[in-house]
Order: sequence, then C-alpha cells, then structure tokens
Amino acid sequence: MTNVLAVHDLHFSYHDHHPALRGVSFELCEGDKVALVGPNGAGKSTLMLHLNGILTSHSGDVTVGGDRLTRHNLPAIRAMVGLVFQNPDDQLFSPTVFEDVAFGPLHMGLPKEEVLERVESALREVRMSNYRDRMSHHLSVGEKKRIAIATVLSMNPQILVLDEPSAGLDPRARRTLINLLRELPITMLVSTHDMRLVEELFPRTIVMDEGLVVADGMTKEILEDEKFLNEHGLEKP
Amino acid sequence: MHFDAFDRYHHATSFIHRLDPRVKVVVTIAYILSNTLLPDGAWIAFGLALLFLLYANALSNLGMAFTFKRSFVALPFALVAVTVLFSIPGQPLTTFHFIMWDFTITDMGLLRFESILVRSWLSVQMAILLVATTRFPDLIHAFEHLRVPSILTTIIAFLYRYLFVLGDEVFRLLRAREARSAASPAAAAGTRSGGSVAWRARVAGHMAGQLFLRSYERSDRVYNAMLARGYTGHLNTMNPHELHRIDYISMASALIVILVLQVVGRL
Repeated sequence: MTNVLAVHDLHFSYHDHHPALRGVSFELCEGDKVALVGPNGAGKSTLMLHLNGILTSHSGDVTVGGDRLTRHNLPAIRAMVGLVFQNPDDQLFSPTVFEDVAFGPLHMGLPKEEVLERVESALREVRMSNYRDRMSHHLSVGEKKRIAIATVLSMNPQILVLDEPSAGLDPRARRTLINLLRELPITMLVSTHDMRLVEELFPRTIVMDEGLVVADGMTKEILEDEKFLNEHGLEKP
Repeated sequence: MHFDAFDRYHHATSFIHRLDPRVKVVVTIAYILSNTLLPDGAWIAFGLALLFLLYANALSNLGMAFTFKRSFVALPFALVAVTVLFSIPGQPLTTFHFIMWDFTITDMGLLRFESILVRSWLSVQMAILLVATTRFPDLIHAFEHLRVPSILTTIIAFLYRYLFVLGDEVFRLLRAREARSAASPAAAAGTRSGGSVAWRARVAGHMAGQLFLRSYERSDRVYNAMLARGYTGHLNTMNPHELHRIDYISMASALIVILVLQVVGRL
C-alpha cells in the first residue's frame, strides 16, 4: 500500500516557546482509518494544523501524496488534506450551507457546473441534501458537524483530518456521525477523547502525550493496556 | 438557545418574495432617493408614494399594515429634525419660552419638519419591507451583483454570520453571571446584596473584555478554517441569481412610477 501521508520528526513551539511538538513521526497508508488520542495539551490539534500547512514547523517535514509540503505547493496540499475543525461555528463561516460547501471548490478555481455538482454530491454523502439553502446559524450542532465535513468533502480530499468530531453530540447525532465516518471511503485521521468511538471505528490508534507519539499500533492492543492508558490520561472504554 | 433578534426576514410566498433581490434593492434605493428629492409640501406626491408603498405591502402578502406597525423604530431619529422648526425663516406661528431662550416656530419651518417626517417615515417602511421579504444572504448577493466593493459585502456577510454566534456568547456570559448572582442568607435580615456599583461595573467590564478575547481567538480559528479550504486573500462567491422577464418588467414599472412621483411633486 502507498503512503498518502508521512510526518517525519516534526518539531514546533508556539510564541511562548512552549514546545508543542517534540519530534513527531508517523505514516498513513491509503484507506487507513486512524484514531489520534491523548490528553488535552498533548499536541494533537497542533499536529493537525501542520498537516495542511496552517502551521509550519521549524524542523521536520510533512509529505502528502509523495510531495513534501513547502510554501509553493501549499494550495495543492490543502486540496488534498481536508481539515475539519472542532467547533463547527468556526468551520461554517458563510451565511448559507450552500456557500460554505462551495467555498473550497470555488477557491480551487473549478468551473461553476463542477462546483454545483461537488456541492450536491458532498451534501449527499453526509445526507444533508435538503439543507442546501439553510442558514448555518439555524442548524443543530449535529447538523453543523455533518455540514462541516461536507465543506471539505466537496474538495475531494485524499485524507480527511477531523478534530474531535463527536464532542458535544447527543447519542443519536453521535451514532449518525459514526455511521457516516464508517461509510466514507477515504483515508482518515481523527483526533478524539471518545474511546468508545476509537474502539468501534479505528483499527489503528496513535497515542500522543507531551508533544510525542508514545504509541502507534493496533487499537485492540493499546486499549488492553490499562496501565499505559492511565499513564497518559486516557481511560479504557 | 439561539439568538435571533436580528433576523427580520418573514417567510411568505408572494410576488415580492420571488422577485430577484437586485430588483428589490434597486427599487428600494430609488424610492428612498425619490422621497428625499421631493420638494417640501409636495403632499400629492407623498400621498402617491404612500399608495406605492401600500401596494408593495399588499403584494408581499404580509398584510397592509405590516410595515406601518414596524415603522415607529425610526421616530426617534426624526427628532433630530426638530431644529428646523425654528431655524427656517418665514411667518412666525407661535413663540414659546424655554429656560432662557425664546423659540419661534415659523410656517416654513413647520412645513419642512412635516415633510422630513413623512419622507423618513415612508423610506423606513420601504427598507423594512425589503429586509422582510429578502433573505439576508440574497441581499448580500444583490450587493455583489450591483458591484458594491467585495470587501464591504464580505464584512457584512461575516458580521451577519457571527452576530448570532456572538449573541449566543453574550447570552451565555450573562446567564453564567445570573446563575451566580445569589443573595447571602443574611440578605433576608436586611443586608444588601449585589455588591457596589463600581464592583458590578468592573464585572461588566471583564465580561466585555472576555467577549473581545473570545471573538479575537475565534477570528483566528475561522481564518484557519478558511486557509484550510484554500483561501488566498480573495473571496470567491457564487450566487446563482438570474433576472427573468418578470424582474425586468417589475423594475421598469416601479422606476417609471417613481419618476412620475417626481414629476407630480414638481408640478
């Protein structure tokens, strides 16, 4: 299987010189669905922001689809890595659902017919076709989350990167989202605290703590080791 | 809980609702401009303008008195015009004494004042009708089509989107304060609760600061979300509005009526 994403020895500090990433390395193969877990402040979100170049690192590199991320291929990489933020109110910034889902394709410079087509199919994929003309602020959190996923699906990304997709959802909305993630035929890296979600959906898990990858392997084996989980602020589901 | 205080759109199916937003914006602006340009005391023209407005009301299926009931929001602004009562030279009508000044109301002043009142009252109603019959995103599209600079339309679009989010945020802050604004058990015995005015002002100040910080951080996250989807500094939008025959005909007839108003007003 081919590598679609490779991160090698990534280091990053914020302005306050607090090191957020201290040498992170991992690889994703095509079709992988991987969970990214770890306590708050472990560096998960920081890592995710690196994956399509919103933050750029001082040392180490990110390779997407065989191309090393640089300033020049940033637009191309952003089309390949779809990043969905935790708070859908940050992700959905346009007045209507249609405009939000069309934002990515429009910025890729696609012709209007194709933009329309992509919007339709992205909304169909998250089963929100009849929400096209709704205004984002009138939607429920679960609906907003699904629309937020559609806003990157419309860019036809190779990798979907989700930050806390199930946070704040009621059981039914969470179940709908889990089914949706299971059915999406796309490589996925999902940061979450929802260990039951991890157990159910992701064969592989990466555990981060204090800016480092402390485990990367079969979810089943990682979730077995209760002592290890407790050490890193996690809980057995 | 959602904060919807700013949403003025009233859903109905009507001729006016279906019109292209551009037509509605152009006609509304032309109507307001026309009211402004009508000479003082052109009562027949003002009367016709009122008929035009009532007709638009009727076509919108929102009820004849829809805009009338909402028009009083503009009244306080009309007070600014009170000074013309005394400042336009003409035949004195009456004089009254206020503290240490004598004020004389002139007939010309009164005429000007009444005309300004009528003008603003009519114009505000048409604007109310516009926002009641046009969804806000469509209004923004109309401005884009009418070549309003994109930086302005973008700011308005973001303002509209995040006004609700901010509104919710304010509500949550206020509720959090409310939930902790208890009185001590001693209060029943006569101790005053609630703290001093200065202390409460400081709390309100902290809340405003908190709101600013949250918004500032949010703007950072929104910008990241835009970058992640390929934003490069230029906002592309797609607005699938199309002008149909009926739109052209409506716009032309409305503009002709407004022109006739002007002619009648100047006869």
